[in-house]
Amino acid sequence: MFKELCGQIQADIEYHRTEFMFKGIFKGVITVLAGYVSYVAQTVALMVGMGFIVDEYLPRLQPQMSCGQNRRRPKRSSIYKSKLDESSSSNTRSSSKTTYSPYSRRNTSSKTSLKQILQKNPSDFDRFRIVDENGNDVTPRRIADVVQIKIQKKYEEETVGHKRNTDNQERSVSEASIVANTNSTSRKLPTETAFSTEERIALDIGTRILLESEHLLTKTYSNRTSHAGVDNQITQATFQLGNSVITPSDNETEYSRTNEKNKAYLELCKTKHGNDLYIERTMQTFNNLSKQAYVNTDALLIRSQQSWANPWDLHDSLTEAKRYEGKIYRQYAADNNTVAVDGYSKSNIQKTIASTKSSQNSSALSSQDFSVKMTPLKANCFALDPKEENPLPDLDIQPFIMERILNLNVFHEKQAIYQGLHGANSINRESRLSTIANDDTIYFHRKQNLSFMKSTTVTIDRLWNYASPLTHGRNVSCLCWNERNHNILAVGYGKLQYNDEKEGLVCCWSLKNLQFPERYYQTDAGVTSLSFSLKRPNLLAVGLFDGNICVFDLNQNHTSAIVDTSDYIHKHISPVWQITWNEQDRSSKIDNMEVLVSISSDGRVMQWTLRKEFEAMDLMHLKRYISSQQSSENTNGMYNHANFVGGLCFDIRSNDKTIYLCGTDDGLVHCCSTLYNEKYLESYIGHIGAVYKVHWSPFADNIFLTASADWTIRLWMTGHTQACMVFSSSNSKMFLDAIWSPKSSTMFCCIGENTIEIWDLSESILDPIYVANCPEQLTLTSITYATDSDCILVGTSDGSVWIYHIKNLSSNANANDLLTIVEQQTHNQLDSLS
Amino acid sequence: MSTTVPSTQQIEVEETIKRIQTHKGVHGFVIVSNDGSFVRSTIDNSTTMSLTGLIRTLSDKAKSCVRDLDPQNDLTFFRIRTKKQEILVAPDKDYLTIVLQANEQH
Repeated sequence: MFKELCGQIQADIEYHRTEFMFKGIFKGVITVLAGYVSYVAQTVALMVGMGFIVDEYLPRLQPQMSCGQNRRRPKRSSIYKSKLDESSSSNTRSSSKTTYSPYSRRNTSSKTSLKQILQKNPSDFDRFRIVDENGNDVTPRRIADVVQIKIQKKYEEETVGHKRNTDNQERSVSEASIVANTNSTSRKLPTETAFSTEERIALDIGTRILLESEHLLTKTYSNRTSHAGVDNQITQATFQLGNSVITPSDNETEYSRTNEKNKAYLELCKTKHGNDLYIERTMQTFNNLSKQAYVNTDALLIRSQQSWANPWDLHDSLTEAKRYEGKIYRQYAADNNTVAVDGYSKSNIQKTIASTKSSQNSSALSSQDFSVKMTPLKANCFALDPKEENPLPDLDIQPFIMERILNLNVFHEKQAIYQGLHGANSINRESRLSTIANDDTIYFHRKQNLSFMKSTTVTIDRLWNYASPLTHGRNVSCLCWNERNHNILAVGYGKLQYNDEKEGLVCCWSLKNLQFPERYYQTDAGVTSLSFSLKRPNLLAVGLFDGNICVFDLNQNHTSAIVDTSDYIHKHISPVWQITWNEQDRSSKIDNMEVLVSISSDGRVMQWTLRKEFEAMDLMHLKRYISSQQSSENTNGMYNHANFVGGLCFDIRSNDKTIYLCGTDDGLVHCCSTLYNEKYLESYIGHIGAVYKVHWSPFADNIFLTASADWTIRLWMTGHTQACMVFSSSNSKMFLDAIWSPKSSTMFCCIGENTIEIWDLSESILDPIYVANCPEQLTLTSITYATDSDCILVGTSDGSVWIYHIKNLSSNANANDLLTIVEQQTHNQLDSLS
Repeated sequence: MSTTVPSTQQIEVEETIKRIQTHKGVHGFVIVSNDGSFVRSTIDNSTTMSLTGLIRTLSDKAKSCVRDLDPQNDLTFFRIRTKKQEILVAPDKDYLTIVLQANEQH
């Protein structure tokens, strides 16, 4: 057929031959193709033919497969041999085969004991079952199984008598069919002998002996247990040891059906031998030709890798694992804040090399944005109460650290001096002086060398100044150190006279960064006083020119105060000249609650408690001092507003928190107590002008110092209403502040309008031991001692805070020295009076 | 371009960087990211590249040294003072900040 096809194709080719360009080649191609096609076709035909043959026999092969479980089962009777000569009804080939689940291997026998079950399986042993058209069970079985089935059958016969006839009938129909009748589900006791005569013929001696012995065994069992719960036995689900098969409980119908099928199959097996339908045939399987195939793979790339496992690497991995707990280990943290930094192009960078200190080049930073009020929260800048650890974006810390380091580099020497490490400084003394002289500032330094000095033992050297364009032009009104962190200085900027700027500034400077404040806050009005809280050092109380009091929290990222008194009804209406945190050590309800004490020009000393908002109570109303003569003329003892006198300063006694001193506008100093808000304890008369500052001596309890506008500083002792000592200087005018030295009891510093004076009472009570001048345009407005070192800080009217180091402080007088001096003086005075 | 509204922190950082650049004695300022790309530089490109490459290896070594001694510790800053200048390096998780400052002629 294929050759015909080839011929036809060829003919066609010949026909169209003239129409093709590539005649020879095309012909050759076609013949090759035809040959290939024919070959393919032949093989296909062959395969198909084979397949046909195979297919024919395959189904028959299947039921004769022996499964593992079949092998494990105990011996069963097989009907194969005995069915050699069988013909009759179940000869047809099984047209249906059904496979049965292990369900079929249920226990149908009447026996309940496990031994019996093991010995004799349920009648339907098979995993599969072949049933012929008539529904007869024609599954092939072994001889032993067949016999056992027959035995079971006998049981069934004996228990149900009426079905026996049908059984017998069937049996007679199918001669040697042992399992012909599976209809009956009833139990029958075994007969004397398990085999009928026919079977005896069929089976050989050996198997018969085997089976008969088995039968006798089972018979004895059944005799014992036949009466016990017969009906229940059939429905029991049993476990077969070794087979691990659970035979589920059966019901009657299933059982009968499968029995039937089993029997039908047995019939089939019996009749198979001599049947025409069954032809024994052999088959040959093809051995496929093997062919060796080679595969070439790419060469394996080998790369050696090593890594270090550092201790910190292990530590990091551990902490990461703990933190993420099984999530994907992140190698690099995504940093969102760096996106903004990337955006700046290089063209924006201006390369400026500052030849002078940047703090004096206000033009260089003219682009500074004043709308940004807040410096970022840097957890490591302040060692204040570390409320929480703020994980900053990474870039933020670095510039600030860098800035500090740079500052330290530049101001290294001066910082060393400040810290008291002046040993290192002495070497480079010459050069340092020259660098200072090279500054194009005309401040203190040169004048200092020229100014008149009483003694050369005590001098002050300027170290640096805190100034930045932010503070340029503002008047420094107050200075305050942080108690907890001695590196932080709060500076308030605001005019002391009539405030025409209408806004103030508070800057927190750090010792580590001399060029820019760590924090700066803008306030509505000029700042007149500052105070750091003792208990919570991150709180800064600010008194303003308009009478408000604000409290700032340095730890938080606020640009505004966390609380202020603007809504309070009884707030101050005049500038708050001094403000202090006071600890109430008499613990009434809340122990050690801190209160704010403020004094103002409206004549009130108020105490504020900070709960949700400010709550205040008046500590004292400053009334005009009425001498005894005048009081008799006043009939009514009520207050007039005219009676009030502005308070300018106060100071709380260190050892007794309830007693404080007030300095007033009219030159009087009153000693008051927080317990009484009506009367003064004592009044000290002497000053003619307003008392700007009053300070208790840190050493002596009952001595205090006042600085006043009447060009004098007076030293007082409690108990004496008259001043013990009066100091004045020829150089100065108003004394804006006078502070005691924390190191020496007889020394104090004061600032006049443009001088700094250092007094030492042990040396001289008439003149300061050191005076430093400054140029006219600057006014020194405030002064304070540094906490840790021999330095003083002086605020100027142009926004700078100068730090001066006092050298050669030799005197370390204690309280007694002061007292003796004072007493001496008082004695002298008394003597002079008398 | 960067985010449309830079946060106040970023503004502060920018200002600080400006101040550093105009600080006395500073004649070079570089911020490099971990993958080697420059964020900021006031030095010419080739110098920056060589500088950062070398500084980075040194910084890693120093950091490894510090952390080997105590894994919970970390390197925040180190300085290299040479004859001509001083190199200040602030290593960080993602960035490296380098400042070149002239030596104070004392």
